[in-house]
Amino acid sequence: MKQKIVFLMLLAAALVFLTACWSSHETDELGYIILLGIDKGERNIVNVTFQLAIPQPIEGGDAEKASEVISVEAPSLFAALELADSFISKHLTFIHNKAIIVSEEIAQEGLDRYINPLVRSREVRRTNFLMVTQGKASELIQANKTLVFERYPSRQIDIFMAASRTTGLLPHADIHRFYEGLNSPGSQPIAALIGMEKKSPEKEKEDELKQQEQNSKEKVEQGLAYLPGEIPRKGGNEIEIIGLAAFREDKLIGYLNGKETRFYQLLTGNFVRGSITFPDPDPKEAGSNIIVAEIIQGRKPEVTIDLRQQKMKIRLFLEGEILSIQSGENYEQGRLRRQLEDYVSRTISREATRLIRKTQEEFRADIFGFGENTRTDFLTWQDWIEYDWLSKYPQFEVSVETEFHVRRTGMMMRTAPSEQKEG
Amino acid sequence: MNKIRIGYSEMTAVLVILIGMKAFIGYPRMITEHGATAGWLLPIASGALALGLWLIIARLLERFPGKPLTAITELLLGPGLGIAVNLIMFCYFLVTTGLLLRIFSESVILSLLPETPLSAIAVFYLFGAWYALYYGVEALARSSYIALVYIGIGLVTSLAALFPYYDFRMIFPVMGFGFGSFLKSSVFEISSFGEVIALAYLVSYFSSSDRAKIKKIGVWSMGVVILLFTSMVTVYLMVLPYPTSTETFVPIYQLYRSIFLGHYVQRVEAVFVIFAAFTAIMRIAIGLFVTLQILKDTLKIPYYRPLLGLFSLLLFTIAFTPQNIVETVKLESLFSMYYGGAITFGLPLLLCAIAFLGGKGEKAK
Repeated sequence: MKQKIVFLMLLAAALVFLTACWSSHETDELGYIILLGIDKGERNIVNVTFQLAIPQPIEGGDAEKASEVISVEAPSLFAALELADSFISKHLTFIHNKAIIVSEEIAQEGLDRYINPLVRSREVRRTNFLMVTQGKASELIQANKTLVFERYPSRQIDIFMAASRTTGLLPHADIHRFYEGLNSPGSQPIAALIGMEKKSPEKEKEDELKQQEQNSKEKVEQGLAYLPGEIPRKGGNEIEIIGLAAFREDKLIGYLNGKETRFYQLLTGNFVRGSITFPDPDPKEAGSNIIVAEIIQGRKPEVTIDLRQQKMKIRLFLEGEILSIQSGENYEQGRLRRQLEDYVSRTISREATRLIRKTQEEFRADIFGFGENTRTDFLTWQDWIEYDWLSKYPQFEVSVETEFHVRRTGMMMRTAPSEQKEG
Repeated sequence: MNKIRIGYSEMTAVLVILIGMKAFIGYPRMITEHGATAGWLLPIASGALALGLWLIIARLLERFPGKPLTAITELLLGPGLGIAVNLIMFCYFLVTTGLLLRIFSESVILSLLPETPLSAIAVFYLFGAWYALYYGVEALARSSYIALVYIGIGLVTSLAALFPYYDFRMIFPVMGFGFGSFLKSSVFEISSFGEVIALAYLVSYFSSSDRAKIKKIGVWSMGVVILLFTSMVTVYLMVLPYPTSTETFVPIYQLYRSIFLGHYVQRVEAVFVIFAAFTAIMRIAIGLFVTLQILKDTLKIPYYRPLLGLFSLLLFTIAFTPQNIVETVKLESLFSMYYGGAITFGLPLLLCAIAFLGGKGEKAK
């Protein structure tokens, strides 16, 4: 009996602590930040933009009213948060933040000072996506208020970023990977690229002229080589997420467009699947016909690095499914299938080599993290650091080999020759 | 002689929690600080060394069947020096448990309750430990045995969920700071397994048939802990590679926070934190129990329950002695994971030397 009383008393005492009353907040007290934008300030050091969720029923209602965008200038990120509390009747919190968007200007100056407080923060998760915009982050977030398909940008960004697995046109870039790239002696960081649709008549004219100058083969080859804001389109969301921003240490040094980002994904082994359009392998048909194949990365690339001779060989292992053969040639079988496989392999190897050279000559930064493969060549950490991979990377001779095999041919086994062709 | 008996599996679970709880706080960080990329090999090397030392100590226990280490110490060193040595061990367990109390409480502030006073959390932990011990060591041992299954499932699930972040290249260069440094760290890191010595103080809780298994319990529990430490550090290094691995206050929490398996499986750390908090209570209770057991046997006190309140207060005081969390973590790391081996393994080995060279012990005769 005595024991039972003691037990009940202790249980009652425990309840006092279990309510977590000191750290409790009513849900309607909190202002959930879902997107964070960082620009250079005009009157203070930074201009911080918060997109806040306005909780309301999921069904019905206007997407624009589902969130509120505010900008505040302050000496730091957290000072901006405090200042915002003085004109918003909510306590702002990062616990549901989804992405951090920084302006090009900030990224060029160096991101380390902005990433550091985010990594230290108990509210911000390292899984937050990190993006760079060529314009102002505040304008982009404001423009994105009019969502078309979702009510909240958090869900919108999640779906957008999942495209890194389905199209490969953007990388899965988060704070975690950026921070590790920043601190590793074997790689350099990257971020995703985000921008707004450019609607000026000048831009439309410029695009038109550019397209007129290109022949069909060039159009096919350059088909996805867009940066945000360059996609020729009408309708959809105000924002575009395509390509990546490359960094040397913490400073932005250049961009990769959508097409290049795909090869970046292939070379890092992060490409899952995506359809690629090639000009027809037959030189006579190349100008008018295309072949579309869905490419799947069979396994991670094999990277062999010869440190003495400064040579690097990368082997890509790809599989594919034919989605379209416009010429009507029977590329599904026999000699033509092998010809197609060789052609795709050569094309991918060529483009991948070109991209690596760009990072060697233009960026002088190993954004692929090839240097991480050299870890096994050294016995100790000091030896590896002393080798100084990042400074030697631009001098390496690179060769890329691709093994591509057609595994499936869609719903068709072969392309039957049409009567006209027979005749 | 105690009437309470603890079974073989239950005692193994108690020891796994007592030694292995470090994996949930600073161990992965500290081991990569000392071993860099070789951090994942250190638990294997130091664990094997510690295992060897335990086998020697177990031989000493075999020489004095049914006697706890407190009694053996007094027999070998005489009452005066024996009590002094026993009190050193008592202080070791008291201080490490006190520091752990502070670290667990700070971890809760960091992860769940940022605005709650530290003292309130510490009191909550102490109440839990006090209650567990008041109910008795038998209940504590059985709870440990049951809890271990859930802790294991939780741990394996969480480590597997981090798979998208795994990068096997990050566990190289294999020798970290070099072979010399690796060897030195392996020797010092045996301290991380030092709590195995608690087994030698709990001899009276075994039935005579189970006493022969003490050596085996130590071997099994250390084997499980080596596996736990190695897998934890390997995953930690693959997800948060060196040198960023040395920055994190609570490595496991940082790992939990990194779980992202798409829109619907993210922000899941709250699930795992419950396991960690529960295990922390168990760890404090076991630490307090071992402390009191050593004191009880040294001072020949028949019961430990009347001391519970007093020692909870003492633990609370020790927990709040360091000025800040950085100081606490540093102290705890140095004390229980680096130099502590001098006490936990050093003193018993000294006794082994006296017993073996002097041909002392019942079985030796």
